[in-house]
Order: sequence, then structure tokens, then C-alpha cells
Amino acid sequence: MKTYLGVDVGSVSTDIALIDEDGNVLDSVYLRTQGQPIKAVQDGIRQIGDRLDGNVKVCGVGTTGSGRQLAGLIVGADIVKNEITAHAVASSRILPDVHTILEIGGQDSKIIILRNGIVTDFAMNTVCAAGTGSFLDQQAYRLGIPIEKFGDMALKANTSVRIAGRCTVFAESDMIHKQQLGYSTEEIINGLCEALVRNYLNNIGKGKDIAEPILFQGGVAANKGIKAAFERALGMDVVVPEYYGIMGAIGAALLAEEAVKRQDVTRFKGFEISDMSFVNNGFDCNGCANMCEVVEFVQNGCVLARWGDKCGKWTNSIYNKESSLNRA
Amino acid sequence: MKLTYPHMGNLDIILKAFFEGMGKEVVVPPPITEKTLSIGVRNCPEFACLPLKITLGNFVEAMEKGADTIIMLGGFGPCRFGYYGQVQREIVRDMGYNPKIIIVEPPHGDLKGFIKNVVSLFPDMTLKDVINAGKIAWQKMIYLDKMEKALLVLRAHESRRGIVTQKYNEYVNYIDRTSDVREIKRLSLEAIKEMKSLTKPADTTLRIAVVGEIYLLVEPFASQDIFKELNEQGVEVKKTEYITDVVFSCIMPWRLSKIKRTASPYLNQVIGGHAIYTIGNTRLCADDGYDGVIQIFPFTCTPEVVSKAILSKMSKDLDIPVMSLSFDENTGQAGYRTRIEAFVDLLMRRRNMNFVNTYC
Repeated sequence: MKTYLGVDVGSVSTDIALIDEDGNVLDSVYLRTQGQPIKAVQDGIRQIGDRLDGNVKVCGVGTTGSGRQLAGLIVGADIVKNEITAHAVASSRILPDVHTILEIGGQDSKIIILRNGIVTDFAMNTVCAAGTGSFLDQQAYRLGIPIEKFGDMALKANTSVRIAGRCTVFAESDMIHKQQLGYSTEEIINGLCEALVRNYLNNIGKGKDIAEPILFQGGVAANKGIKAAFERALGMDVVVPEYYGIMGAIGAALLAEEAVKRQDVTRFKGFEISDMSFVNNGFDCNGCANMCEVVEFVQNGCVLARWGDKCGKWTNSIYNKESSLNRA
Repeated sequence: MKLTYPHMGNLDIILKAFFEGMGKEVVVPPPITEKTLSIGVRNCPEFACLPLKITLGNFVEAMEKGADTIIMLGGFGPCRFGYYGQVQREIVRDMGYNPKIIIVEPPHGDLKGFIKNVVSLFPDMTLKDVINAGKIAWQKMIYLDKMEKALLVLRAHESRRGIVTQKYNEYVNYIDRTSDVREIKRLSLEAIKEMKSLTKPADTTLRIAVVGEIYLLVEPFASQDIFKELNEQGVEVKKTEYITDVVFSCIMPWRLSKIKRTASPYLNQVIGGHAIYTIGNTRLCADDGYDGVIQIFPFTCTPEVVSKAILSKMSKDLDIPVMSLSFDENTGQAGYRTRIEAFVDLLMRRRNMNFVNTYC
């Protein structure tokens, strides 16, 4: 059976999806990156490889997410694409006439507007990470509530308390203040969900043509309180797809399927990559007053890539010898 | 007198030709680096525009190399830029330097007055000297801009990463070193031919127009060289304003009237900075069939912030995708690369879809 792998290396989580030729998800892995993208990718690939049947062949692999360049070098990607495109591709496959994608991840949030299956507009949070998954994680920890129960608690509240939404520092101060005034935890959590949604819609959602069908994805989509807050704020239905947490990886796998059609053989290095040695070396270039920090990526002793230089002399030296990663 | 001036694209070469052509000693400010920017960030007000910080860094680094006179453009100016000279004068004094600062008023349609103004700054020069030096500087300006226009198209198709840029830099150097008016033209045309020979043919090419604030358009350091980034993704770039355009607009006032007419359904007055050009040029590029438009400007640039809102509406009306990016010293690299990649993908898929809809 022909299958395709998608790897999404994000700041908080690393997800891997294995799909068949028709785009059905056969297997998936969701790991916490924990600041070590190389280890996360190797662990994830190993897990998928261990569970694989004998008659399954990986015919293409794609990477996405903020760590896509690194992941692409590790696995031998056929395509390396940014997460906006990956999310859009996955969503249009699952819901062909999707109009709006709301995505809130660990450290970023995005909004993607599609029309007739193609992306017409998008925005990513620009100034800071307020109102993303990490903030919710932090508040759940502070209140001693497991993040999985967060959404259910928010739904229990009858009213919600207004909490400052612009900045996580002020939101936390506001929450503590309301707590000390005696509001219930459920009401405060509900207020927090509304604040997050307000921040999202006023910041990256501003001026965007939001219309149904709306898909809500990313790790935070697990939170029922946020989903309900979106529906109240927009007055529209919001759908959370089955694979809301790994849409990026699914998109990367679908893009890999597309990319491999244009070439005959995949660049995937095989599941042995889980056992290879990948090392990052860094050095300061003394070529000029820019003093760029150059990073060198080494596989089993061989330099695969370099980046970090402004003038490109280090990047280009390796780039030109290797065939470029497919960026069609 | 050891003269210096700010960096802005190839302006340093043009001004060097002009002042050296008049026999003045010039200290070219060192190339802009992170160190230059950090000097500006440390000594300028935080919310001042990025160009103020970069140019202040230029002056300080040039004075460290011996410059004692700074020439700066100023006057009542189109926006905060009009105050740069005065603010920078106060900052360098506070820092402990004591250069002579000459602030030159731009022509504003009165070319004769401008020339007289410049001549009066150099009392030992005759009008003839100024005109001769001016001819060389003018020629360099025109032909360097022609070379850059070609670079931004040819580099999208370079056969090996980095070679077209290398060739371009080589020829910029040759032009810098000559003072022969005919040689300048010959070198520029040869450069374009050479760069073309280092490209390979491509099938579908996207064309993006870049509009926005003038310093960001002309000086690649300020925009993290977004032009190179786009070229490396295989996109041909059209910069809508070059130094040549700024100078032409100063001495030919009918250019402003023309762009005002083009911009008028969306913006019918000058609101400062380069806003009217941003709006007008976006309309022209949409009419010319460009695939998309990117607006670049320094964080807090007010005319461009207003334009950003107007461009949103134009994008819907003229059916052309527009992306706005603001830059300052805190701008990270990863987020911008992701947005630029996503924008290019968006344009590519749009093109393919349109092709499918028209022919199937």
C-alpha cells in the first residue's frame, strides 16, 4: 500500500501523520517538542515505523511548522511548506467548501480565508503570543486544573467574568483580582475563554471576511469552552474536525503526495533516521561587523546544511552542492 | 572638511561621485550592519522610525572614521523625516561629537533654487564644477537603478544560488570606481548582459510589486532584504520607487499630479510620506496584471499605516492579494519568512486555479 508521511514540528508539539493515497489517516503521533526538535522527530518517526505493517511503503514525506527546515533535512523531505499552506490543504480536503479556518496552537494563532478551495487571505499573530495554548496551559497549572478539564469547566458557568484580553500578564493579574473578589473558578475560566476569543478576533481576525463553514483546529480546539465562546462571539457554527490537533501534519503529507507525482522517487531516508546521529554545531562568523551566528546541521558526521548568515556565503556553500528541496 | 552622509541603497555611490567630483574629501559610512543599527537603537527615541536609527548609526560610524561634516536632507519635509536632521544634530551633540551639520532643503519643484542652494554651501566652487560633478552623479544614479531593476528580475532565475548577486556587486564596484560618463553606461549594460547569462529559463513566474515607504524600498538592510528573499523563491520583483523616481518627482512636479489622479478613487490628497505613491502604484500594478502586492514600511510610519487600511479595500476591489509588513529593530526573521512563503504559495495556487478555470 502506498502511504505518505507528514511531519509538523511546532514550538510546543511535534505531530506526524501517515495517510494513504485517498487521504485517510492511518496512524498518527503527537509529541511535546520540549525544546528538542531533532529528538522529537526521531522519536515520532520511530513510533510510526515500529507500528508499520510489512506491506506498507512510504512513498513521500513532507514537513511543515516552525521547525520544517530542520525536519526536512532529517527525514529527506520531498516538500517543505509553511504551516499556513499545510493547514489550508488539509482543511479543504476534509471540508471542500470550507470558508474560514481558525487555528490556535501552542505559541501562535492563524486565520485563513478560502474561497473555492484556494487561500485568498491569511493572518498570523504578529506582536506576541498572548491568547495561545501556552497561556491556557499556564493558567490551568496555576489554578491546579488539568488542561483537559478546562473546557468542560467553562461550559458549566452561567455567566462569565470580563477579563482583560490584550496581554497575558494583565489577564493573569485580572484573573487573580476576580478570584480574590470571590467569583467561581468556572466563571473565571469562562471569562478567560471569552477574552482569548476577543483578542483573537480583534487582532488577527480584524477586517477578515469570516463566514461559514468554519473549521477550528490546532491544539486549543480541544477546549470546548473556547469553541463555545467563538460561536457566541461570531453568531455562527464552528466545526472542530476529528484530527484537529494534527491538521498541519496531514496537510504536509497531502502536499508530499502532490509533490511526488512530479518526480519519480521519494527522498525519504527511511525509518533508519531514528537511529542516525544528528548534531547542531554553531559558530560566530567573523567576516564582518554583523557577527552572524551560523548554525551547522550534521548527519553522521556530514554537514547537511548551514543557515543564520545574512550574506548567504555559508548557506549558499552547501545549498548549491545539494539539490534544492522542492518548493513548487 | 571630511564629508559624510547617510546610507540609502546606492545613494552613497552617487553622493561620493558628486562630492569627490568637486574635489571634496568624502568619508563613506561603513556598510550597514547590526552594529550600526544597535548604535541607532541605543541613542534614538524608541518609537522613532527605523530609518532615523540606521542613519544615525551611519553618522556615528563615519565620524569614528574621521568625518567632521555631515550632510543631511531635511527641511519641513513630507513627514517626521523633515525633523531627522535637527534631531540627529542634537543626538550626536549629546553623544559628545561636534560635527558640522549641513541640512539641505530638497528642491520641491524649484530646481534652480536647489542648485543655487547647494552651490552656496561650497563657496570655493564654481557653477561649472558643480554641474560637471552633477553629471557623473546623475549618470551613476540612472544606471545603478537600471542595474538594480534588472537584478530583481534576473535573480529570480539564477542557475546557482548567489551568483547573480555576486555579479551585480562586482559591477556596482566597477561603477563606483570610474568617473567616465560613457563608461558608467557601458558597465551597466554589460552587467545586465552578464547577469542574464547566469540565469536558467523558467516556466511559470510570479511577479510581485513592492510598495511602501521610500527608505525601506531603497535600502535592503531595513527590510531584511525582502527583495532577495522573494527572488530566492523564484518570484520576479518590481520595486515601485527608486532613488531616480524620488529625484524626478522632486524636479518634475507633474509626476505628483499624475500619481494623485491614479490614486484618487482611494486617496485624493497627499497625507505625508510616500502614501500617495503607495496607493497610486498599487492601482497601476493591479492594472498591469501583477500577481500580488507587498507593502513594506517602518513600524509606526503613520502615512503607511493609513495606506495599509486603504490597501485592504483596494485588494478586494481590484482583486489583487496585498500583504502588509512593518519592520523595526525587533522584527524577527522566522515569522516574516513564513508569511512571505505563505503569500507566494497563495499567489501560485491562485494562478493555477485561474488557469484551470479559463482553460477547462
